Amino acid sequence: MKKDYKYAISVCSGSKCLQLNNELIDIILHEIQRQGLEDQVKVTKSACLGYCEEGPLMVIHPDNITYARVQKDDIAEILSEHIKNRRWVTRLLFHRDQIANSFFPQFGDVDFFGKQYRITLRNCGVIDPESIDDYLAYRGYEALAKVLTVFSPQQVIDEIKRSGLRGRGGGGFPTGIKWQSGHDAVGDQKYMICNADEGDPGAFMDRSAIEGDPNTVIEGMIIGGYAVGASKGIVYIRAEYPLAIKRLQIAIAQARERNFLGKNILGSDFSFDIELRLGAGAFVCGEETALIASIEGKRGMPKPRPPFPTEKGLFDKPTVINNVETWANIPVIILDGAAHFASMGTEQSKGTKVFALAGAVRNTGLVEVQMGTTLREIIFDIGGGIRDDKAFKAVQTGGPSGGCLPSQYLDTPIDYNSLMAAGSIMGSGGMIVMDESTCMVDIAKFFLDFTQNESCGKCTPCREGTKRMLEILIRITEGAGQPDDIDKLLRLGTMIQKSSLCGLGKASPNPVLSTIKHFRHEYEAHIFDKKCPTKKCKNLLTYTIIDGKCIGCGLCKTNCPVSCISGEKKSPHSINQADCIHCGACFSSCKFEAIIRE
Amino acid sequence: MSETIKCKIDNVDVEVKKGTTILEAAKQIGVKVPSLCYHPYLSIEGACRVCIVEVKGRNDYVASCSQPVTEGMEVTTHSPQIHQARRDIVELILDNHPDECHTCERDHNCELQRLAYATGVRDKLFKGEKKRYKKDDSSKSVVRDPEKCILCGRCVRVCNEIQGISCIDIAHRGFQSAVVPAFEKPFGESVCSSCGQCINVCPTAAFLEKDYTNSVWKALADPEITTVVQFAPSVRAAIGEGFGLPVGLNLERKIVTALRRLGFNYVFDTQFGADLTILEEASELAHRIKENVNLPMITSCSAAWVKFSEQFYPELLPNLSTCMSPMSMMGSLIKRYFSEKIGKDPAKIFSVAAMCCTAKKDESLRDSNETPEGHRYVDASITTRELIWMIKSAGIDLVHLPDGEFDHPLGESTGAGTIFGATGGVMEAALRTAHFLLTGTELPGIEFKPVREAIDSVKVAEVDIAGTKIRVAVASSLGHAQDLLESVRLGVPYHFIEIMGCLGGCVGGGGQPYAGTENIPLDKDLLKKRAQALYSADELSVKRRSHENQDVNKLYEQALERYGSWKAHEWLHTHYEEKMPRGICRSGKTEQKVNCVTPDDPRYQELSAYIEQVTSDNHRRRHLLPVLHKTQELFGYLSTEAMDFISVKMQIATSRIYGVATFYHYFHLKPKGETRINVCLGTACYVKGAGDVVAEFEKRLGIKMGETSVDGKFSLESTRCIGACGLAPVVLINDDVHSRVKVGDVKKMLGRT
Repeated sequence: MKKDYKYAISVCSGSKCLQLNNELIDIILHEIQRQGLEDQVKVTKSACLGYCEEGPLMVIHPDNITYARVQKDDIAEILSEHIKNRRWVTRLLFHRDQIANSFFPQFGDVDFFGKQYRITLRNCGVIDPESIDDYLAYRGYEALAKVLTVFSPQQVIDEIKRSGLRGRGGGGFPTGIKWQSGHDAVGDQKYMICNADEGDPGAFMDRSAIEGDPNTVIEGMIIGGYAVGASKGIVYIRAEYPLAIKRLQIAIAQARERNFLGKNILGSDFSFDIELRLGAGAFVCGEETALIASIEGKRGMPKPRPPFPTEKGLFDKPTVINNVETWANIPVIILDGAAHFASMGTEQSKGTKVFALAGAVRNTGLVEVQMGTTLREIIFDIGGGIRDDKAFKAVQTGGPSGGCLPSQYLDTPIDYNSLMAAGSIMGSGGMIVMDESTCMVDIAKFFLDFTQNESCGKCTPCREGTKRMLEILIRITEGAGQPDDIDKLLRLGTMIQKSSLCGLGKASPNPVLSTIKHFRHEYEAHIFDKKCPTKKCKNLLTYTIIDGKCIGCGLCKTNCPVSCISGEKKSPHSINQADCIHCGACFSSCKFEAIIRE
Repeated sequence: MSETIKCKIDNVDVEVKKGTTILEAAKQIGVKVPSLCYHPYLSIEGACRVCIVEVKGRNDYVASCSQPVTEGMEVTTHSPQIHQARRDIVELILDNHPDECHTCERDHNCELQRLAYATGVRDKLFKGEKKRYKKDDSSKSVVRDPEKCILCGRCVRVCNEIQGISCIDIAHRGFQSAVVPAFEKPFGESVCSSCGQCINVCPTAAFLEKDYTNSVWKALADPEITTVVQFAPSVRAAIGEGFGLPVGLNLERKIVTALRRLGFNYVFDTQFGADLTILEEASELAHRIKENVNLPMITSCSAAWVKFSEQFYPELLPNLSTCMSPMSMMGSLIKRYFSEKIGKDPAKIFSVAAMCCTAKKDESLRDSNETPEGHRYVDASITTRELIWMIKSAGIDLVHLPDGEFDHPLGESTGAGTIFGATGGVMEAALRTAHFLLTGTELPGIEFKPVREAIDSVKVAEVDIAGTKIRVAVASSLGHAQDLLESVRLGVPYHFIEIMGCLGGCVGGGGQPYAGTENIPLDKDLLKKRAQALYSADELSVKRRSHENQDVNKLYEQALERYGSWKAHEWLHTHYEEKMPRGICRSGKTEQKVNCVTPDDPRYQELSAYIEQVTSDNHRRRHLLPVLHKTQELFGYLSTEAMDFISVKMQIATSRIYGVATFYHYFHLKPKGETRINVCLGTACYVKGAGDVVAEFEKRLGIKMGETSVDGKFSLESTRCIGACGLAPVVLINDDVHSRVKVGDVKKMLGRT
């Protein structure tokens, strides 16, 4: 019997909150029963709402009221107050305590959501990602039906071309042109691939998009298959994303049941099916030729292009590869028309872009904004500015392939060309904000360590070159930097950019080159003054005991692991700098602030 | 007519066929772009990046080996920028390569050395850590020295693409990448056929033949010892290259003199053994055809082929001729027949074989290749290269030596024995004699050209002997051999098959001189020129049929009685044994008949069922990753046994599986601890102190990242971003997520588990 529910409680169940929230859901269900509300309230799991900072989140529809940081003990109160008594539980409402003392109860009222414009994530948090009916209720598979009934394959491609959509995986290649060459290539079998091998450290856009709305990706791929003439689709997804995998499996099964996938889709001549392939943890498999090698059961190593995958891809057949976000845009473009999509964004970059905002901002999470939005708007309006009242130092976009931009670039509008011109890249959507306490040499080292670790080892520049660059960065941060080290980094970096085999190799020096460009003085401080301006690099710190303040308690001497502190009880101690290993044990043990670190 | 393309290279107009690469086009106008991983007969790797050039309109440099020219393309092959980039790339290779040129076997014969000079690396700007590996000399024939490997991948490609074995592959990744046999087991335990082609194509000394010259020097210096040497046909056709002479000169007589100058007491000719082999083999063939047993008969002269067939074609072992190779026949006669002739204790005779081959080292050490009294037929088998070095080392000026004569009774040979060195030679020589044996008359027109030059593909022919159509086939390289044997398996009837392990036959052997600046290994013209040196000698011979060899006939009269006699079998024939390989050879192309017993363990039963279920389509190999995922799910890690099982079950070479398993982070080759601690090292976690958390775990557990504690309780791993950046830093303990972890929490977290 269909119940006529009055309320729906939607509990955020992204993988981050899921574990906790399964328990929460049990309690909610139990509590609903206890309070006799079974006929009034339906509980659904929504996808990651993206505002992880405030999780676990719970939205009560149709009031559209969002409760944040919900704990087990709050459930009974929420149900009795909100549902029975129609009173909001104000202490659990979103609030921006440090900015103003006002509450922002409604989903969308919070700046975090209000400044966003959601296309890819349009259904995330709104529908139940495990129900195709929910998706259908939000115009799901309408675009597919439209395409199959009124569009020829070429018309679909033309529509995508007109929309100006560019690949969201980082490269920004025009999607319509890619489809066109896949369409024009001759082959008895063609493949569509969805690249969901999200690998940037600090990026989780694709995971959240699939967890929140797997059907839109599937619909996009089917439309692409129709346009290009492919009958087979493969989603290559990280094995570390179990929830996304599960939801995709459910969505594929449901789509097959409804004949959105399979033979003669919706009664047409077009047949298409999708299978899942799990990655196995290799960053380089985000590169398309490496990804193809991996699906073929080989080491995920890139191959020289040409031939391009659209001519000779998977099993040497024409293959079109797009990433999750690109696919998710397709149904919207078809439904609302290319013109509408092209009306958003900038001259060169249309539509929206999803970013995983993290680091030193107040609000971390997933944000989707129109192209052309400035970095400042994302970081300060949506992100709520820098945490702990520290000063902004840099924003890193594009992950290990991108660069760090200082404050003078905050008004740069987000689009492929502007970011490139500023010395970074759009990338797949990682956005890490850094405050004044971040050492830029250390950050460059972190990223290079990552790429070095993830280098497939095939080509010399990336395999050997990044190793040498990393060695130079390590010695700089350890106080052994040499006067010509910056020049060597620039020389190697430029060579690697120009000579590497694949895009990842070519981009690997970017974090180093961009930090040298914008923060050269920090490198110089490390190399020439042997100082780390942010006091992050341990080996460059010196600890000194101030005579006047030291009372000779001996605590530092006891804690020093290398016994390099000497002094009689009750008289000032001193540190033998030659033996000091810069561990800071003395500094943290001193109760009299008698030790200075500089 | 094929389409042509016009482009400009270094301002010179070039017109080439569509599909021509920049590197090939540049060659047409006389510009040799430096290259390293590129090899014209192997697939394009595009890995070393030495051959980069500038293309107008492009921001990055382009690898000229892989980029086809396009209409109107303007290429610059050398400019100050390219010069510096190339120099830096070559320096990067050198920075991770031992600085020991002066003690290296390939000093002055090294492509990397030449490249370093050509690109102008005169100092080292980027010195740093070098990889460290032990030399692996566990094989009887081939030594691996991974420290000298520069990862060009030519050996991997020759082993896979030309030989179809895939004994080696690249394992691990990034800076840790290395060319290894499956599971990094000792090379002596691998499926290597000992063909030595990896040595030939290696630009450095990462692969070398095992050096046996020390024992030879020692024997030569011992007055008690009688030293006897034989050398193979192909040695004479190629040795000149090692002395700067043009390719294709036959230096047979000068080698004889050089060997005497080195101090050998007797110099014999392996071609004598070749003539003898023909008589035994032809009579064996005549017998098999008459009786219609064990057909097709397959030659067994090639040591690499024999080792390969024992591992991968056990069902064909009855088809192999039981004749030993000419080298071993010679060795047997030296220790039996010749020792008696000179009245010398075989224990005091040291028998040396100079061969074009590395696999002969392996053959000389086979258990069966000694007399019942334990006298080895061949005490040391050295390559053409080792012989060149010995001659140079003794200061002998080979080029200007007077001609010498072979000794009797094992020195005479016919033209039939000479052509053994070229592919098709054994077949032709055997047909010359078989015709005589079967009909009593000579083959009309002594040459049988249809079986010559089986370099590009297998050669098939038919010959009429006394009204019987004898179908023959010739294959050189183990890759072509597999193509041919596949057709045999499919039922194509042959009577006689010649298989040589190396492309072009023995002239292209793994022990031949290194390619100089002008030649390239595997080059078809090079192989043909060397072969021509042998064919010319055959043409000039008075006797061109093995049964005309008087010394051989004398041997039968004095000792062996007749062809195929009981004694001939005791002295000159051998047997073969099935040797279980690890996994299989060439991936998927030929189904190996390997007994694959599913172990009783129910997990193997499940794995087996899973493999059968997923591999039902055409692209069997593509399911390797899902199968590895499944295996890890069942066993917790990927064991050697499990990977061996998968190899046979899925028909994928074990080295390839190992290469794949070590490429991906997700797969573990060792069991993990009961408690798995996973620290997220995504950027957000890192900037919030995940690095310190890792250090604390390492300190408290006494293990490093990626290790498992000795008691098997904990393993510490890092994970890429799990997307919980809002909760940074995040630690996963088994599947429990711990958020906002501080260094101080570590002790508590460990205590709880």
